Amino acid sequence: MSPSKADLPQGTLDLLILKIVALEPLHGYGIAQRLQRISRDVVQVQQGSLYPALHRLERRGLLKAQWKRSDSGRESKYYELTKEGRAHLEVETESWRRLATAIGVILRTA
Amino acid sequence: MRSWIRFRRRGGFEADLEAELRDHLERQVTDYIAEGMSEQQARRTAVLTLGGLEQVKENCRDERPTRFLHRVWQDLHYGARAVWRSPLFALAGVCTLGLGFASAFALLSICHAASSSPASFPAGHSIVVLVDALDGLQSGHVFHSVRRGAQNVDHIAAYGPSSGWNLVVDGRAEYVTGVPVSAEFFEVFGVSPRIGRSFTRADEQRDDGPPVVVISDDLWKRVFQSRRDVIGRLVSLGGVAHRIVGVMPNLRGPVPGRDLWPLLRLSEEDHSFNHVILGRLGRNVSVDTANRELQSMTHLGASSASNQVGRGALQWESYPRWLVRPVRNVMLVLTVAALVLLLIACANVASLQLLRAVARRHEFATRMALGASSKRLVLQVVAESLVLAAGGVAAGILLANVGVRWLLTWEPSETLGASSSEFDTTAALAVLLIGVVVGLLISVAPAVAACRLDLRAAFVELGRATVDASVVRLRRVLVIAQIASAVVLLTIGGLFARTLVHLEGVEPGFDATHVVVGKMSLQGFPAQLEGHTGAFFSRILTRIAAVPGVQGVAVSNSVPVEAGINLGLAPPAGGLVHEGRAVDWRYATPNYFTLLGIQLRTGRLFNDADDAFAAPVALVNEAFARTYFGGSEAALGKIVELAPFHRDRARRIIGVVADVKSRSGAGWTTARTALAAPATPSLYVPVAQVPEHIFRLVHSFFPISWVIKTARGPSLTHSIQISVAEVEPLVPFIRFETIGAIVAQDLGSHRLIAFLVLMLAAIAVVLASIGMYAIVSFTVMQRRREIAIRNALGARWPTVLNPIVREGVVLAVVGIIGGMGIVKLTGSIISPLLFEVAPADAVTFTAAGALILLVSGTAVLTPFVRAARLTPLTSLREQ
Repeated sequence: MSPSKADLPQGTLDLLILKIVALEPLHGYGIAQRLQRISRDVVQVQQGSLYPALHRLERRGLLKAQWKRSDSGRESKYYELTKEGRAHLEVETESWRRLATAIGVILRTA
Repeated sequence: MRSWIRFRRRGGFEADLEAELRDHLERQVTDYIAEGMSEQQARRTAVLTLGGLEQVKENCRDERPTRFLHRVWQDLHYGARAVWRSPLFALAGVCTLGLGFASAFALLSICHAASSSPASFPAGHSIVVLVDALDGLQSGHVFHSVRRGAQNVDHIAAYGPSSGWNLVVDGRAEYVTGVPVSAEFFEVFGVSPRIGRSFTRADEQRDDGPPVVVISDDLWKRVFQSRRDVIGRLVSLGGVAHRIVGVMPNLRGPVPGRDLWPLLRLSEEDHSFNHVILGRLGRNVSVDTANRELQSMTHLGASSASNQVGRGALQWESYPRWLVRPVRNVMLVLTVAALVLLLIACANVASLQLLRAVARRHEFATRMALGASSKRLVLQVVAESLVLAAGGVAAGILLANVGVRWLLTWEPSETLGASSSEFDTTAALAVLLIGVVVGLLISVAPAVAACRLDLRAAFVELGRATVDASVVRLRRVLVIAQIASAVVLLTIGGLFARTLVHLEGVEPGFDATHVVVGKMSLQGFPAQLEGHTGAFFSRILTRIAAVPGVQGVAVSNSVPVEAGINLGLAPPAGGLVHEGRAVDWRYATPNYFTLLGIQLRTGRLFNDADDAFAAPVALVNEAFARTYFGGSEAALGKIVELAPFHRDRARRIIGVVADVKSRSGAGWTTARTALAAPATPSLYVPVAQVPEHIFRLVHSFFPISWVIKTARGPSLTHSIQISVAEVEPLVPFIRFETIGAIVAQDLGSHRLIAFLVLMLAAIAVVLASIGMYAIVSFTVMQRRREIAIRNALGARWPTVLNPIVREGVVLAVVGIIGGMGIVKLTGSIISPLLFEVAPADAVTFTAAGALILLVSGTAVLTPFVRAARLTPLTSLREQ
């Protein structure tokens, strides 16, 4: 929560969630942990906005959810990528990469 | 559908969400504890990191597709509960709205019934009526000319005025009413007979065999027990055998005629303007096209007869529009009045809601603090208002049903056609729609207030009934609107009432005390009287005069107030008028004028010497003398003659009588009252000198009017009926009525309108004064602490209460001025409905303004007096 952390740009949270879930089906808490770990010290993800995002992605058919018993014996809701989700992730990753490159070029030259 | 299923399974979603977040928290807590936190601290931190359990849930719910439906349901549910929790408020709101809706619903259904348009018939909008400068009455000559020449109009038919006959079936007589119609009449309306056939042009031309008649479904069931062998059967109608050729299905609405339709055989040689001509436009033909065709025919001289009597050019007009025309302004005024009333009711409820919104700030603030967005709060207010509006609609429909029924017993008005007071689906739908709009309307003000709710301020001011200025301003505007609306209704009602007073005070030109008019139908019969009319009249006159109690008897074709027959008059020599015009023509016995108290202005009245063998004479009224000769004296001795096609003799004017108020001119199709109409030129002819063919023309549809002066009023009618039946068993009296009743019927619509508007005005005044009372008592309540302290400190109460009273007075005055402005703007709509009263009548305006001031003064006074008694103790105790 230090002020040096930047807020996540609009729309990127969905992309990050899709990327994380792409590796393996995961429950909400796990996603939150991993988000924090991956983006440590760089971006700030509020846990409060994670769940609405998950529900949004599920509604859009990019994720599907399933209750499963985990290793610890806890019953958790696991999210995994659907076919549409995977396609969407690829498209979004590609366009994000292009955008980042473009901005990088501009920042270097300007 | 899918959304609904999901909606039903919302319980599953909620449990799922709950479990998911619970799982998240448990995992977090486990981790925190592993990091060395105490369990209590771990739980607290976990919830904080997540960002508030309820908040997250609310945000997740927002992402669900079923959210909206669910929310509406929840809001409605909550709204109903909130309304239910404050029953007094609910009662006040529902009653106020109910009153508004009831008037709107009642008037809408009356207006809808009055204008029940032929559009409900197959392609009703393509029905047209032939009109000219003097409105819708045409002659047989015009009928045949147009029917021959019109290519763009598929069916053309004529009908005459409604009439009544005795129908004798199996020796049982029944009085029936109906309308004589030409061939293709039913085709114009696009209806075909249930059994049998309708009239064809061949029927019109056939001269052999009995006249034909089509009967209604109702009569068929009632009199003929639905027997199919009724077709071809001979029945006696007005003493003449008629053959039934068809049975029409139930024709409700704008098709003229009720029980039956005898065939109308209009002669090509008929030049009296007494029939309505209808047409049905061909496929894809517009009224304009048909009119262009009509004009080209006029050019060819097809309707030269119509031009000859100065009736202007002929044209087709939409029949639905023509039907509604006489009452259109009335309906407009009534509908607007009802809507205004509804508006006042809305303003009142909005005001109440606003007051409640202020009182409920705590509740709203709490909900907001718990995470409800202000959008959510607004939705809740809207939902509550909709619940209230629904209650109002229900109460209104209930009240309206009772009200319309009561209204009809009070004034069964033919003019407004309110006879069909059954549940009117169209009106109900309209009211339902209005109800939704109203629900939204009344929620606007409190919703705005809820939106502007400042959380902190709300909690700080908790328990103190202060409101921000915008809310107060809003309520003031509402009160002003209410007062203005009440002024509008009151003023218009006053104008109508004054019109009625003027109309009733009009000098009618006759004195009908103790005069009874006996109407006798000759339908189908005049042919048999041919050559014997003189004997016929004297026979009946003698019989009636012999009845004990009868002081005098006269006969004419029409009586005052009613119209005479329109006949063409040739331009008289030495006169001021040089073209042929229609004249209001009547025949009369010598004593007709004395019995009805119609004053002789100059010359002499008829006497018994003016018989068939004497020189032809005529009496004219003052309007005739003025129009044709410039004055009564100038008219005396002049020669007048009907247009040549009427084949009457030239007559010398022997006297001029006073103008008598009548519905002459436009004839039987207009709804305009006779008393408000200017006098039209009338021509009277002695009954003994009426040519047979004119007598037949007059009475082929108009009944004979026997004018009977009695000592005791109408109770002699029975003995008169019996006495006449002894000599004339086949010509029955249709009815007896006093001229007073004829006048009252003539004034009926005026009285009904004045009554309705004044009633609405009364309701409006009550509602507005309640609104006024509410706002002043609210101001007092807001300031009661201050008032109490100032009272205790010995301030004289006028100084304390001045601002309050001033507020009330200012609101009232602004409302009154605004309302009067609106009335002035509506002048052009209401002025045709007024008589001898200007739309800006000073007396009415002053009276309405004073009344409103008085009422609002009273409304202000009550809280005022209460405030004057306030002491700090009572005030503080209430805090």
